[in-house]
Amino acid sequence: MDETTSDDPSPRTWDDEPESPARTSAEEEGPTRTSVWPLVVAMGLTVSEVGVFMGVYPLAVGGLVLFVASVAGITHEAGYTGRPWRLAGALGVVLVAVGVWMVSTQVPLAVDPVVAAVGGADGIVLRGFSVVGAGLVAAVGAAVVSAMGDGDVDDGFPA
Amino acid sequence: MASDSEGKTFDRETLLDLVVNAIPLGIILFFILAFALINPFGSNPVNTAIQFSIMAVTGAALLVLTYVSGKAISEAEDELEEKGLELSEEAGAGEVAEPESEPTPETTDGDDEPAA
Amino acid sequence: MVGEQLALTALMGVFLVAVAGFLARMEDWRSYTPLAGGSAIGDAGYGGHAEKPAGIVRWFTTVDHKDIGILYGIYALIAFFWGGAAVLLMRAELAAPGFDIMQAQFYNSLLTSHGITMLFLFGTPIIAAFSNYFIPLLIGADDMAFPRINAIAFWLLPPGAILIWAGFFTAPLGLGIDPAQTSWTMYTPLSAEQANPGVDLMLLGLHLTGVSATMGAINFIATIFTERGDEVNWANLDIFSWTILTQSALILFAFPLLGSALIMLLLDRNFSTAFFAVEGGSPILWQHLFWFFGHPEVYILVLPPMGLVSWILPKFSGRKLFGFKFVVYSTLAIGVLSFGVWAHHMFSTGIDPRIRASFMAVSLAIAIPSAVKTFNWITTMWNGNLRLTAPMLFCIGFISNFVIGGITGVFLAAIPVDLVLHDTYYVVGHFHYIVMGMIAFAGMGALYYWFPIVTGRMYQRRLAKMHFWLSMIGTNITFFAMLVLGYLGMPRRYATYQFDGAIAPLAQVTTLHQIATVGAFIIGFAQLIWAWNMVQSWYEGPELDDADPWNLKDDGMFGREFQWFETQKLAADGGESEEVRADGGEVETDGGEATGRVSSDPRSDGGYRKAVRRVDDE
Repeated sequence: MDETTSDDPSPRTWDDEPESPARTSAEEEGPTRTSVWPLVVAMGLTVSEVGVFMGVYPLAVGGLVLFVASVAGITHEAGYTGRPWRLAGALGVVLVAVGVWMVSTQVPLAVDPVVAAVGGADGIVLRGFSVVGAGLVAAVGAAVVSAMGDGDVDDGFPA
Repeated sequence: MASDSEGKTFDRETLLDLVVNAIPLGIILFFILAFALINPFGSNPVNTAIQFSIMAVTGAALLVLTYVSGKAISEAEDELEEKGLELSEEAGAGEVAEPESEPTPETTDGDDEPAA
Repeated sequence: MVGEQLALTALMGVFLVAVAGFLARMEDWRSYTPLAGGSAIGDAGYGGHAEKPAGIVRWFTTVDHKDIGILYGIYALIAFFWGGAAVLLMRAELAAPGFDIMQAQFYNSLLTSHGITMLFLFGTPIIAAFSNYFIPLLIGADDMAFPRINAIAFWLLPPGAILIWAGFFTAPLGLGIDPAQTSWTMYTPLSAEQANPGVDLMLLGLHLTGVSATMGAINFIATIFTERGDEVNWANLDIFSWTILTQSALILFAFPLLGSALIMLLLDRNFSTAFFAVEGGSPILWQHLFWFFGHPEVYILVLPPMGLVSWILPKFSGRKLFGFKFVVYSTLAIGVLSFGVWAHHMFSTGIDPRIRASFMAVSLAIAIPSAVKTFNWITTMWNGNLRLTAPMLFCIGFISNFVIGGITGVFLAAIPVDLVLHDTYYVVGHFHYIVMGMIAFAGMGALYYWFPIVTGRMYQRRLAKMHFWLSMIGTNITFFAMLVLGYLGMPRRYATYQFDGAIAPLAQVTTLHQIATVGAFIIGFAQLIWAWNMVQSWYEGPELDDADPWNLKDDGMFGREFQWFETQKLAADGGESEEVRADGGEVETDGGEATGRVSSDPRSDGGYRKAVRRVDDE
C-alpha cells in the first residue's frame, strides 16, 4: 500500500514518514493500526439500543443484525475465531432465544395469546418479535453465506 | 532498616510514605470513637449498624489498599535496585535519551523526603 | 404509521447496504494481522506502522492509540464549545431578573445540556484524549492492550452525544421530541414523569457514554498492568499513569452502576416499573444510586488532571515532584474514600441523622489526601527555577483555583453548613471552581504542554498567555460572584430571580449575577483565542527543530513521552523536510535555548519575558 499522506487532514510531521517498500512488505510484523470494525460495532450497538428501546422496529432489526455481524467480524479479525459466520449464526440463535423470552414474559407461548398480543400492539411483545426477527435474519444469513463458501479468511468480504 | 513490627514488609522510608494515608484513617477512627461516645440520636439496630459500617468499611478498604500498594511499590523498588536502574519517573521507556544531567543541588528526590 | 415503518425499513436497508459497501471497499487495501490475544505484540515499535488509509477514512478506521487520542480530543473540544454556548445563553438570561431572552423551558433544557455535556462529553473524553495518546508512551507500551476495544469505546461517544443533544435538533421539526429538562442529576420523580421522548433519547445516549467509559477503563487497567515496558514497574511508574489507573478503577465500579440506574429509570418511564416511584422503591433510591456513581465521578474527573499537574508542574519548576509517593498514596486513598461519601449530596433529604453524620466523617477525611497534594505542588515550586510558560501558568492557576474550590467543599461537607447553603449558588460556585478552575485548566495546560509532540509545531505563546490570563480572571470573577450569591441565598437552577426584596437584597443579587455574566463572557472570549491559536498553530506554527521544546534536558526532566518523541523525530528526519510549509522560511522555535532557562520564544513572549528573566537571574 503506497498511499501518500498529502491529503491527510492532519499535518503531523513525524508519523507520516514515507512508507518504504520494505516496510510495506514486512507489515505483518508490526501491530495492526487499522480496523474497519470498531465503527461498525459502535453503530450497531447504538442503532439496536435505540431501536429496541424506543420500539422502532426497523431500527431494532437492522441494528441488531449489524451488531451481530460486526461482533463476528471483529472477533475474527482479532484472531479469536476462525469461523466468523458460525459465530454470527450462534449469536443469531441467542437473539432468537432472548426475543422469545421477552415475549414469554408478557403472554403464554401459545398461538392465540401471542396473536392477540400482536394484534393489540403490546409494546414488549412486538419488541420481542423484533429481536426474534433480527436473530432469524442473522442466523439464516450466516447459514446461507457459510454454505456459499467455507467462511475462511480468503473469502474476502466481509471475512 | 530497623523498624517496628512491620519491618519485614516495609522499611522505614516506606512507612514514612505510608503515613500520608494514616491521617484520613485517623480522622475516621476519631469519628468512630466520637460517635460511639456521643450519641444524641439514640441507637437503632439498622441505622447504627449502617452508621458504623460506612466508616469502618471505608477505613478498612483504605487500610487494605494502602498495604497492598505499599507492598507492591517497595517490592518493585527492590527489583529496580537489583537491576541498578533509576528510581525516577523520567527513566524507562526510551533508551535513546541523552545521559541525564546531574540534578541540581536543590533538586532532591522527592521520594526520600520525610513528611514536610 | 405503517408508511413510517416502511420508510424506516427502507432507510435501514440503505444504511446496511452502505455499511456493507464501506466494509467491502476497505477490503481492497486492508491486509490482516490476526493477533492472538488482541494485543499488539511486536518489536517494531512505533516506527512499525502497518499502513493507514488516506484521508478521512484513516480516522474512521484507526486503532492507533495516538489517533484515537486525537479523536477524543477533537470530540471533547466540540462538546466544550456546545456546553459553553449553552451556558453563555443561560448567563445572558440571568443578567436581568425577569424572562428576557428565553422561557423557563428552554433555560432548563440548556441547564441540563450544559451539565451533562461538560461532565460526560467534555470532561471524561478530554482526559481520555491525554491518556490514550500518552499512557502507552509513558509506560513504554506499543499500544493499548485492546486497540480495537479502544476504538469501539471512542466510536460510541459521537452517537451518544447526538442522542443526548437530540431534543435540540428535533424540537424545531415539530415531532414532539424536545430537549430533556431534567437537570444533569435526573432526579426522580421529575425525570420519571416528563413524558417527552427526548428524555429517553438522552438517557440512552448517556448509557452509551457509560459503556464507552467502562470499556476505556478496562483497557487502561489491562494496559498499565500488562503492557509496561521492561524498565517500568510500580516503583517508577509516572504519576499520570497512577492517576489514570485509579480513575479507571473508579470508573469500573461507578459507571456500570450508572448504566443500571439509567435502565431502571428508562423502565420506570416506559414500562410501568416502580423502581423510583413513591409507592415503589422511592425517589430517594435514585439519589442513592445516582450519587454512589456521582461522587466517584467527581474524582474520576479530577484525579487525572491532578496527575497532569503533578507531571507538568515539576518540569517548569526545575525539580522533581516533592513527595512523589505521598501523591501516589493519596491518589489511591482518594480512590477508596470516594465511595464512602456519596450521601453528602443528600444531607437535606431527611435521611437518618446517624447515617448522615458518618458521611460527614468520611467526607472530612477525604479532604486530607487532596490537601496533601496541594502542599506537595506548592513545595515543588518552592525555591524552584520557575519558568512561566503557558502550561505552567495553567498549573499554577489550577492550584490557586483548587484552594478556593477545595476549601469551599470542606465547608459543604459539614452538615450544619450544608443545610444552610444547600441548593444555593454557593454549591454552583464551589463545583465550578473544581470543574472549570481545575479540570479544564489542567486540560488546557496539558494541551499546551504536549502540543509540540502531537503537531510537531509550537503554538503562539502570546495568545496562549492571553488565553490563560483571561480564563483565570473570568473564572474567578464568575465563580466568586456565585459563592457570594450563595451566601445571599440565591437558589440554583432558576431562570429568573424576581423575588420579594424582604427575602434577599434583589439589587445586590442582580449586580452579582451581572458580574458573573461578564466573567462568563470573558471566559468564552478566552476560549475563542485559544481555539484560533490551536487551529492556526497546527497548520502554520513554527516547526520544532529538536525534540526538547521545553529545555527539559537541562534539568534532567526529559520525560518518557519526549524521549519517544525524540526517537520519532530522529527516525522521521529527511521525510519531514520535503513537506512544503507556508511559513517554511520563518524563524525556528526556541530562541530561549541559548539562555537555557527561558523556553519562551522572544518573538512572541511579549511583556512576560521580563518576569521570566527576573526569576532566572536570582
